[in-house]
Formats: sequence, structure tokens, C-alpha cells
Amino acid sequence: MRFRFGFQSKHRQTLECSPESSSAQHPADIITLNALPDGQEGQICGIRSRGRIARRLAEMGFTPGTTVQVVRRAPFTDPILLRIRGYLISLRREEAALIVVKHQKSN
Amino acid sequence: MTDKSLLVALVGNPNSGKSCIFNQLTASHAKVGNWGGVTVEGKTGALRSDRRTFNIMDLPGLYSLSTVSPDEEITRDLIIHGDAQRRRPDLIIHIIDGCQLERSLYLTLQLLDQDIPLVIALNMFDEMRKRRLIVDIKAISGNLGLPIIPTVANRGEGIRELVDTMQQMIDDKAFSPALFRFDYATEKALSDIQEIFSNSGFDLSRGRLIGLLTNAPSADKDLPGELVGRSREVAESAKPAVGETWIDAITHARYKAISILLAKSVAPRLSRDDKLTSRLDGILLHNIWGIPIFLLIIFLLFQATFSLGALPMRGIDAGMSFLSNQIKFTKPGFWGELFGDGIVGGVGMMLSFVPTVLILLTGIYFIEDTGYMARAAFLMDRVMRLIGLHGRAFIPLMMGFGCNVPALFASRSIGNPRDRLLTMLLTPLMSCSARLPIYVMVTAAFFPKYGSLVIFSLYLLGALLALGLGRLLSRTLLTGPPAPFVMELPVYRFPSLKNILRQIGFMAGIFAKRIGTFIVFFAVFIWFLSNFPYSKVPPGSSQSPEISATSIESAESLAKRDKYIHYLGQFIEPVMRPLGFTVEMDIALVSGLIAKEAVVVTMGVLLTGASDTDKDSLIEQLRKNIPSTAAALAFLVFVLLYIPCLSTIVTLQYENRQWIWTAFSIGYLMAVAYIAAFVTYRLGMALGLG
Repeated sequence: MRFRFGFQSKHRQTLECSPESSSAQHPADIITLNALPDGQEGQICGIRSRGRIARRLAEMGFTPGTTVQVVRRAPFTDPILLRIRGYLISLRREEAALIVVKHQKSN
Repeated sequence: MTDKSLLVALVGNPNSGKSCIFNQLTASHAKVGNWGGVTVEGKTGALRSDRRTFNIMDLPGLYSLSTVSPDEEITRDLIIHGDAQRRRPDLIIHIIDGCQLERSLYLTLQLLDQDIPLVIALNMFDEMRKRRLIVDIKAISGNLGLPIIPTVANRGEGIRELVDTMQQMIDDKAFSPALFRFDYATEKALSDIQEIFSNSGFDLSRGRLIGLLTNAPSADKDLPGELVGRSREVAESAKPAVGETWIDAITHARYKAISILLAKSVAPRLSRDDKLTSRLDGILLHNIWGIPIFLLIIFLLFQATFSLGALPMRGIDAGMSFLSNQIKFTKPGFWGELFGDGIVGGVGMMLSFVPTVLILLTGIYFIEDTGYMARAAFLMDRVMRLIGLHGRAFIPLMMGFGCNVPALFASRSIGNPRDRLLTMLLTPLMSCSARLPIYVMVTAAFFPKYGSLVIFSLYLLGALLALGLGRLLSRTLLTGPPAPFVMELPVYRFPSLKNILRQIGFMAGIFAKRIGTFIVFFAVFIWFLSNFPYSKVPPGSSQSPEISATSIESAESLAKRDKYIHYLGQFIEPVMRPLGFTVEMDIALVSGLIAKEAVVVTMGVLLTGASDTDKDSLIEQLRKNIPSTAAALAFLVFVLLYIPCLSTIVTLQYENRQWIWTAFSIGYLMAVAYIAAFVTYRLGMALGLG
């Protein structure tokens, strides 16, 4: 007997913050991840690419709705160190530029 | 079940403690193996119990089965397609860092769909406890339908339970993991694809179907193109319910399932280790101090390797030349010289590399295991990208300034084969310490005032050429897709010394057995070249202690210039004439192919007729015999750039396993050396340094 779980939805889900839907209200809040200042958090809206890199990013946990924090930048401001799903990961600037986030301003 | 040995694959994220578990499982029975035509060697080890033998394979770490770099492909291919005989593993041990459950379970969900029995080793269980990470293992294990064994690999905890579970899983044969269902649209597309293939008699695993749906790399391997085309049509005609692409839908669903699995687990947002890590990162990755601290660490590593390593090296040299003289004394004549000079000399040369290789690798494993290596790559990535390389290439290249042989070995820490090959091709351009005595002698003869400036320019020239050639090669021959720089920075940990020592012992074995035999072989070959046609050396002719270990001919025979190696030098003389070299310089360069140390010695013997020349008279002779300052400069440039030594070439061949690249390396270094020396000579002449 196999245990079954998972979720099913017959309806097409819309992601919480696709750039098109929210840009009208908060144009400044939707930015690419490389534009997020050090120490700030953002919520992922999506990845602007369909290649290998997009797949790898999604599999590493960069899925829509996930919170990601910019921890610091390397000297010469590239690559960027991020915290996501409880671990640290570094991306180059051009990879971070593929990720669209909603800036969650803290203070 | 018969008693045939079972294939067990160790799979896990990088830094999950995989090699530690491997060492625990196989005790000391590890050996190097090649996996079906792959150029990377892998470790396999046997675990014997009274009933059966498990053949355990330590596979390169990966985050996902849809890979982005060739080292990850080794693991993927073995799991999805099997080895050269199409044999897939009988069992997978999936090693998970307990503090990284969320991300690690993604790979678990992929492995579940492969139809191979799976057991999870929940590693670093002690740290989970320390962090008060509360995880309901029983519930997760039940929900996934597979056993989870908590382990602390570096202390050997949980290993026995792991082995018992493996036995039991093989005995039971029944393995029925949870079937993880996606949303309706995805499941519909998957079953459509399955139908296409099952109608033609292909029974594909669910993982394979998902790969076909998401157009994962290698998912269509060995499948008829027509069916793949039809499955692609299915994937394109249907619309995912979540996100825009199928991979969106699948990653979204899997991470959602993971959050349900972990819903009852408590994870404190920041543990003490995390705080320590962010505090240390504040210093070690600092905007201003980060790079200086890194350079200091590299400097210390360099000093430790090449100063500390020099002590045993001297001992080995002395011991070997003593042994060599004893042999020649007890058995004068041809056989005594063959054994004394040729073979003992060759073994001595190989052994003299062992201390530096071991010290450097200990340092590198230590840095790797603390978690700092990834930080070093993070710091240096912007700089290394100028050459078309990953940040990780910096350390091996730096070590090349000490000795190219351990540096080539150190490049093992670069995962991506393309990056590693490029690093290995550029390493010889780093001016190793064996070249320095040549610079010192020649500059003393020609640039008594500006010697250090000239030497510094040589080092700089090597580095600049590496930069230029790196850019060139990464845009022409080694274009291949660069691995995306998606690199995890693990939390800082204190490394397990036992684990490091085990790995070092393993590497020492590889070096002595595999590379060593070749070095000895070639050393004997060169000995033949420099002693044939054979003529008896008059007794009492002493050899310089410096060269006896590297098996250079005696002063008398060298002065006569009637050996093959001299013919070789005379043979290339017309080719080298445009560089302004004399035949003595050519012979010295040929002898430098064995080891660069030999160049100065050979020059001394050729020019002064004695091997125990004092420094001043050699400098005097150099000044007389090198025709011009321009030729001296060209000679220095040539020494800097032509192939470093036999041992480097042997190591290069062993480490990249493709003779075509070894041949390329020899060819391009020779060409670069020739061109650069030619330009230097012509420029020098034009500037009036004649």
C-alpha cells in the first residue's frame, strides 16, 4: 500500500506577485535581486529565464513566494551572497539579475 | 538473492559528509576506480559482511539530478542510465546534512522516482541536536516510505544501523516509497508521455518521465527520437497549472511537499553556528580586509608547503645520493650506473615531490573542510573571471609558484572539468621555484644591478600570459558552457582530522603508485639518452651531489658531447638560432626537460668542464658565452615558458587523462616560449642590447 500525499489543484494558480500584476501599485517594489541592498529581504516573484540556470535556481529553492536575503557582496560588488531557505548561497550579478523579487522594506 | 556483489551509490549534496560516510563504511578498503569511460576517477570500496559484498561508490556531490556541470553528470548518469554495462545501482544511500533538510529533501524526492531502493543517512545528527532542531524522523520516514538512519559520520555513530538497514532492504526486496503526486495537469501530461513509451515497449521510471516532461538534460538518452519528439509535443501542447514552465510547476510542487513534510519540525531561525558563521564572514569576507586576509592565508599555506616541505626533501635527496653512490661503489660499470643513477635517481626524484604534495593537500583539505574554500572562491571570483575561470582556480594557480606538480594535484578542488583543465593548462606559466636558480645565475651575469627587477618581470610576464592565454583559450578551444556560479557557502566547521588524514593517505597512494611509476620510467629513459652510446666512466670521477639524484651524466662525458641528449641539443640548434642561443644553451634547455634544476648544472659542466664549478666562475663563463644581453633575456623568457619538467607533464597526463590535452599543453607551451623568446630577442637587439 503506497502512501499518497501532495497537493492538487485543478485551477491555474497565479503567483503572489507577478511583476505585471503588482507593478501598477508598487512600481518601485518589484526589482531584480541584484538591485536589493545589503541586508534587505525580498520575496521571489519569478525567474526571467528559461535556461539551465533558471532550472538550477528553481531546484536550489528559488521558487516564487520564497524569501531571500542579500547578506553581503564580495569586494568589487560581485558575486552576491544570499540567504535562502536557511542556507548561504552565492550568485554572480548576472544570475541574480534574472531573479525578480518584491522588496520587503525592513524599517 | 545470489552472492554477487551489490552496487551501492552514495549520493548527496556537496558538504553533506559523504566522504566521511564512505570512509566509515569501507574502513580502509578504498581503491581508485574508473567509471565507464569517465575521465574523473572515483573512489570505490568494498563493505563485506558474512552474507554479501557491497561495492560502495563515492559519487560527486550534486543538488539535483538535472545537472549543470560534467562532474555532476557522472552521478546522474550512473543513477539514471547505469554504468558502462548499463548496470544501475542496487541501492542508493542518500546522505543529508541534517541542518539543511529543506533543500536536501529536494534531491530525495528526485531519487524516490528512480525505482532504486533508497535509504537516507541523516548526517550531522549531533549538530541537529545541538541546534535544538526538532524533527519527527519517524513521521518523515513514514510519509516518504523509506528508512531514515540518523548518523554522525565523523564519530562513526549510526553506521552499524545503516549497514543493518542496507542488509534488510536487500533481503526484503520490497521497496515501496511514497508516490508523490503532482497537480492534475502535470500528472495528465506524465501519463500521456508514459503511454507513448509503454506502447512501444519502454518501461520508464517516473523520474525519467518527469525528465522528459521538463526537457531535462540527457532525459532522452538511448530513446528513439520519434517517441521523444511526440513526448515533447505533449509537453508543449499542455499547459502547466503553476508557473509558466513545467519545471516551475514541479519545483513548486516539490518544495510545497517538503514544507508539508517538515511542517511539524521546529527550526530555530538562527543557531549558534549560524551566528558564528555570520560573525566570521563579517571579518573574512570583509569588503576591504577580506582579500588581504585571504592572501595572508595563501602565503602561510605556501610557506608551510615549500619551506616545511624542503626539509624532508633534502633528507630524501641526501639519502638517495648516498644509496646511489653505494650501489655504484659496490658494482661499478654499466649496471651500477643504471641502478645507481637511473633507477635510484628516478625514484628519488619522485619521492622528493611527496612531502610538498602531501603538505599542500593537507592544507587544502583543511581549508575545504572548514568551509573557507568556498569563501575564497567567492572573494576571488571577480578577478578569476578575467581569465575565464571560477574563483576556485586561484589557489591551485598560486601554488604553481612553488612547484607545478602539487599545484596540478590541488586543482582537484575544482569540480567542473572544463575549469579544471583550463587551470591545469595555465599552471605551468606560474614560475615555479626550480626556475629561480636559473634566473639568479643569468641575471647575476648580465644585470648585476637590476637583477631583482628582471626576475620580478619574469614572474609578472608568466602571470600576464596566463591571463591572456586563459581568456583566449576560454573563448576558443574551451568554450563549453561554463557552470553557473551557484555556489553554496557551508557554515564554518572544525574539520575532522581523521578524515583529512585518510584522504591524504589515499592521495599519497595515488601519487606514489600511479604518477610515481611514470616519473621513474621517464627518468630512466632520460638517463639512457644521457648515457648512450655508453662509455665507461673512469673510476673516481665524482658527481656533483646536486645532480646525482636527478641522474645527469658525469662531467667528463658531458664535456665530450657524444651522447644522444647532446645530439638532440645540436639537432635543435638551427631551430633555436633565431633566438640567439648557442649550442650550449640548447643542450642545457634539453637537459632542463627532466628538471629545471638541471639547466644551471649542465651549463656549468659545458662551459667550465667541471661539475663542481663555483658560482663566480660560472657567472663569468655565462657572461662570456651567452652572445648578447638580448640573448640572455630571451633565454630567461624561454626558461620561464617552456614545459616545466617531466614530472609536471606526467602529472598533467595523469590528472586530465586525455593525452590530446597533454600533447596540446606541451605544444602550446613550446610555441609560446619560442614566440616570446623570439620577440624578446628581436626587441632586445633593436633596443641595442646586442
